Amino acid sequence: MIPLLGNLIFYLTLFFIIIFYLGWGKKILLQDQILLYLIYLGGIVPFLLLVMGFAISDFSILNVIQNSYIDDPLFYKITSVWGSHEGSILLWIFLINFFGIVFLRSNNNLQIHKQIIFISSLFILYLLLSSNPFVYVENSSEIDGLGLNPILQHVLFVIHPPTLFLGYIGLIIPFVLASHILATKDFSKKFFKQMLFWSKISWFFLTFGIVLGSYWAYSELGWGGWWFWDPVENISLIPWLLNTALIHSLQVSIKNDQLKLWSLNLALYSFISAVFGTFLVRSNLIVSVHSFATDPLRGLFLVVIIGYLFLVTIRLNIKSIIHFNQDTFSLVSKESFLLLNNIFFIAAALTVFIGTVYPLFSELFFQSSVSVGAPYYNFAFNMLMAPIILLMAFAPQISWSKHENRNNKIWITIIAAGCVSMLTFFYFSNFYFAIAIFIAAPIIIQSIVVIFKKFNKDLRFYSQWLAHLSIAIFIIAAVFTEQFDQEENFIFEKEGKSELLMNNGNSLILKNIKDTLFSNYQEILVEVSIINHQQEYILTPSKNIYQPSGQITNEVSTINQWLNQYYATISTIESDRVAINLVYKPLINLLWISSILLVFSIFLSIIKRR
Amino acid sequence: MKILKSIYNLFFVIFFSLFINIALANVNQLNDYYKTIRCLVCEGQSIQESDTEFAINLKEQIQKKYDSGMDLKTINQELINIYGEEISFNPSNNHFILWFLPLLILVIIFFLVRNKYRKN
Repeated sequence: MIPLLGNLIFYLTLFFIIIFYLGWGKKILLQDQILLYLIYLGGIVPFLLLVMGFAISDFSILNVIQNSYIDDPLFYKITSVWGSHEGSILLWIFLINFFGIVFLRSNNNLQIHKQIIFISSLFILYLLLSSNPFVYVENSSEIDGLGLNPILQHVLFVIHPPTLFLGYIGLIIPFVLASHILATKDFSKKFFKQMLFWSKISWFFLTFGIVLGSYWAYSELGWGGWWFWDPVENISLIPWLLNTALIHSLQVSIKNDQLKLWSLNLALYSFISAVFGTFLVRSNLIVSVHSFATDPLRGLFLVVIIGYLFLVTIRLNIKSIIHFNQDTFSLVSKESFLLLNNIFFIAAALTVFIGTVYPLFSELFFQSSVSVGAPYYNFAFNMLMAPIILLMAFAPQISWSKHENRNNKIWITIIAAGCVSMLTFFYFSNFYFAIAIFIAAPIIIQSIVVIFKKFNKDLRFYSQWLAHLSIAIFIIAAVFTEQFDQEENFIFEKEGKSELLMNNGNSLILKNIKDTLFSNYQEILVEVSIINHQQEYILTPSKNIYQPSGQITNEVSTINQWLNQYYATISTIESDRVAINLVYKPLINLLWISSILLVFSIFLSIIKRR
Repeated sequence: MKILKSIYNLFFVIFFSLFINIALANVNQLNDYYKTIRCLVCEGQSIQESDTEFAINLKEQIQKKYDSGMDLKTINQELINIYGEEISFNPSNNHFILWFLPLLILVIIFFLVRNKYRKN
């Protein structure tokens, strides 16, 4: 029933879209507005149908068989919807239409919605032709389902992909707005303000999604890190960087009518980069932990969609470039600093992009395969980010158009930061951490100074203040964690001691090994405790063996000590010995706190609009 | 103007010192070195993170060689000879384009937008 209904609705929606494009709405007695609502609903309902199919374990749907297991908890049954390629494309369509229908309330310009619908229809075609989740299976009453990939069975996974997708697809509104502005050459501020609002919405979800993904990798994959420069992480970072640049350049466009073409192009390319990222993952061109089983047709179709978006962008640029005046502004002004910000962000986005696709490129042209990983990005990306973060401290205080007031205490701040960083260098004798302090300290100093100077400013000021401050805290926490984490391996033999000494003098005690059976997995749990000043901290890392696939996952166990954390995983477990990997991660919690503050800061600036 | 010039100078100093530092820095901890070696049977993990047989064996081999007094540079070269360049997450100097691109991009963008600034 559900497969039939899902397909039917999609075909009906395509039919309505054609009618809408031909302008025949009136002929079949439907107003354009109502037709629009019908089309948007047509993109929304199938997703809900599939959710229902998963919830009731309707095994007449092939997708449900492949990605869900009859004994899975309801919660995971529902999240299995976006565990597969087909389901996530369906989610993508759902979100495009969801944004469309929400956007319809604030802007009912038919031309803009025409474009949203066109993009949506491309994805619907893509879904129907190459990755249809509504495939009917006969005689399926005896099937129990193959189960969701166990790595994905985690609370964070429930919210991570939809949040990230909300961020990606939120970029569609700036995209269509920008192309509308370029096509009609109507540069009214209203459009730019709407664009800013929507790019902030998207930024909120993107940031939140990336943080969630990072936390998921940290707490679920059990690799012990929070950022791996995995290709899929990279391609979520590219739209983020471009969107960050967009938010900053839009300030200039709105405030004094400059950098308009620049902003519009950023809006266009942000969305393209989001779609391109999806293409890279789905086409299986790059190897990543997020790989989906794929076939070439899927990649090809996404190339068509990207090609379309690209053509729109280029055509609009060529047609409208003569309508722009030359932007000029004085060298020391807020505009120029925001432009500098943009330059660095775009360069960083391009660097990440090039690093991600370089292995492909190298294989094609040099016939040599190469891996580009953390060492490269840590060098190139940080190199580009360091100057921009140093700028972050001072740029907000510089006035628009021309900066006259020269007696702001830039030098004092820089010298103070230099002194602090020198002290840290001598205290911790770590070069990287000293550099991190040097670039982050000015922001913190300026933030404190500013908050005392301007007390009764509006919410927008606080959101910007908090965003910059949390970035500074994030940098300090991130560099500290990376530089000062301590990893130790402990092997408990069956006949040997059950107490081992740690490097810092504390002792680690093996207490218990438990074997428990749950509804869809078997859990082997090892209980160890750290004795520190007569206080006992218990860690319970485990290995889960999932049914029916037999796949094994590592479950991490952590103990917080204020901002620091002990992070334990089982590295091997055999009948006669257990090896425990224990990592001490200083300041890791500060990293998560600052990330959440960053997300909260953009939330502040969104709600300031009534 | 003066302030901006000083800020640029400062950037330069930071860039320069970072470059020097990275050029001189040796990966002296084995654990950090593991992070730069790709686990070839996994999808994008380094051998430090992975607990597959391949990763464990490779780690043991590297540990043995390291303990016998071989330096990490030679070990790295040996691994590349055996497994190909894919094994290292750190692209070699053959790929110097990759390493210079970020700087090149920055210069190009600066060049493109330079006349946005009013000259006075």
